[in-house]
Amino acid sequence: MAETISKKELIKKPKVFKKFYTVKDFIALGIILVFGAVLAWVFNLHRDGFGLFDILSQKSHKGVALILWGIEIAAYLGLAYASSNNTVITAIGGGLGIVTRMVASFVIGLTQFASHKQSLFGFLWSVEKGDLWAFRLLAIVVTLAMIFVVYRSWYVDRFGLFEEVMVKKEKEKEREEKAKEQPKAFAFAKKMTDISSINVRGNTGSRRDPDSLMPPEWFVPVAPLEAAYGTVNIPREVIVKCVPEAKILLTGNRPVQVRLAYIVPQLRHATIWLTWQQIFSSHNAGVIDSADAIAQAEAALRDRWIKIPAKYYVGQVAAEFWVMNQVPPAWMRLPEVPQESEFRLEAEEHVG
Amino acid sequence: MASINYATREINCKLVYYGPGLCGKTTNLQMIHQLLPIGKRGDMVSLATPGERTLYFDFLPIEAAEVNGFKIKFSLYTVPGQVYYNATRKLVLRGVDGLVFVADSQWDLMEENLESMKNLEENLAEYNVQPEDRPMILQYNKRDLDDIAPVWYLEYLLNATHGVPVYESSALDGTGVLDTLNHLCRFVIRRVVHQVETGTF
Repeated sequence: MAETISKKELIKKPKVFKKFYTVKDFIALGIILVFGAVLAWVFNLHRDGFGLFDILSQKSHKGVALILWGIEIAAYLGLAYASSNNTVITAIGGGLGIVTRMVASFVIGLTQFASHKQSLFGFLWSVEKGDLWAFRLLAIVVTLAMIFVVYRSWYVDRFGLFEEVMVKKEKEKEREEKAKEQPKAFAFAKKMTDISSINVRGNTGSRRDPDSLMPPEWFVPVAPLEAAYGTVNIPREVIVKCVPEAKILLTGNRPVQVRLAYIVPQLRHATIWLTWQQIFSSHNAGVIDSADAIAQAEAALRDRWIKIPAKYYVGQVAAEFWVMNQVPPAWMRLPEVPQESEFRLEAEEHVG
Repeated sequence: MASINYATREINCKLVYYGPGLCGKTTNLQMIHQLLPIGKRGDMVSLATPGERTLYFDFLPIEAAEVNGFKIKFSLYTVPGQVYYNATRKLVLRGVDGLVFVADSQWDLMEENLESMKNLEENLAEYNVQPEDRPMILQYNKRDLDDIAPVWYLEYLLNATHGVPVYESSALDGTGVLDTLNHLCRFVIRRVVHQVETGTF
């Protein structure tokens, strides 16, 4: 996944890259670059510019050349550490010094090739100079690798190279777009309270299905309480809301009377559920027309459920039916704690 | 169940705001957070949906005065009110020391109040706790609205058998919010102190 992370995204990761962005670190790497290039120039003046071993005769032992390479790398590392005092920068500086001098040597070699009108093959391989061709090849490889790394994103974008990477990028883009389109499942609420943003009252009203015309699952029909005499008046709209067809049946202005015998047993449920038959079996003379056709229509509604919300009957039920059996729980009878009265959470004065 | 730390001389109690969806439990906590001075309360943590529905729970720690040489701390929680989050409600109720049942006073929500109270009793029963075992306050919220049930009817519906203290409130403007909390806290402290003294803690 690392290939698909853009530079901007990398910069956003402060913990990893923070230490690279000090002026001191930039100066350290700059010194290495200059040092590598100067070395390449100096060595190139002397001979081929591939390393300290250029100062040795061609007959010197190869091991000595290897030691000199080591010394050179150590010099880069030492310089980088002295400049930055940072181990990561030091490691980068060591590699950068070698790479810089390789690239510089290659460029200088090319200049010489052009000025001496030497054949390219002859210049690159320099067979007449013994083992040095291997170092020239190394310089070429390093230079091409540098170009490859620097312009990598350009190849990918322009020529569609590294299709695997491209596919990854596309998939990632798709994922990002999908994530943007999908609504968030949840969000963290603000830590600090902002009362103006509270919109609880906007969602008032019943959370049940308001149009449900069937009693809830737990509902068990209750037998009427014959000892409860009297009726309550229910607006016609309550009936029509549950049984729209009843609109043509309920003529006149009188409210519908519902027997208390049916209401009282359900007082604890808040909403009362009754069938059409239970409501209209009596006490509603004159509310429904007695014509035969109407009577037939009414017959079809007998088993339909009608719900009567509490607000329509509460004020009409006599006090004797609102039986309460309040027994204060044991914890309310516990004695006061000596310092209890000192305990009081109070609002800050400036809050209204 | 309250926890006592004898080393730091602290008693930590858990209070839960229970009630049907959108009755004002979170608003209660938000107002407490808003009203109390910074030194008395911590940050409020709330995990909610974009529609301000509590997804998991809200949490607000508050600190009270010392009682018997112990500093009392309360952790306030709310539960998600929606019917389908019962597992979360049950989890939040574990180890509860005190309850505020927030009822919505609107006429159309009487059934929801009843259902939520029944659900509270069932969930407490799963922990072998009866509602009368834990201090509880009933808070009749949204009293500032027009289409609301009278208090006597809410009493009949929700408090007929419990007989616990009752407060009318309008959480949105803070009315009754701190009174409810103070009353509950005192009962919780009494119960904890009583348990410590009688060795039943």
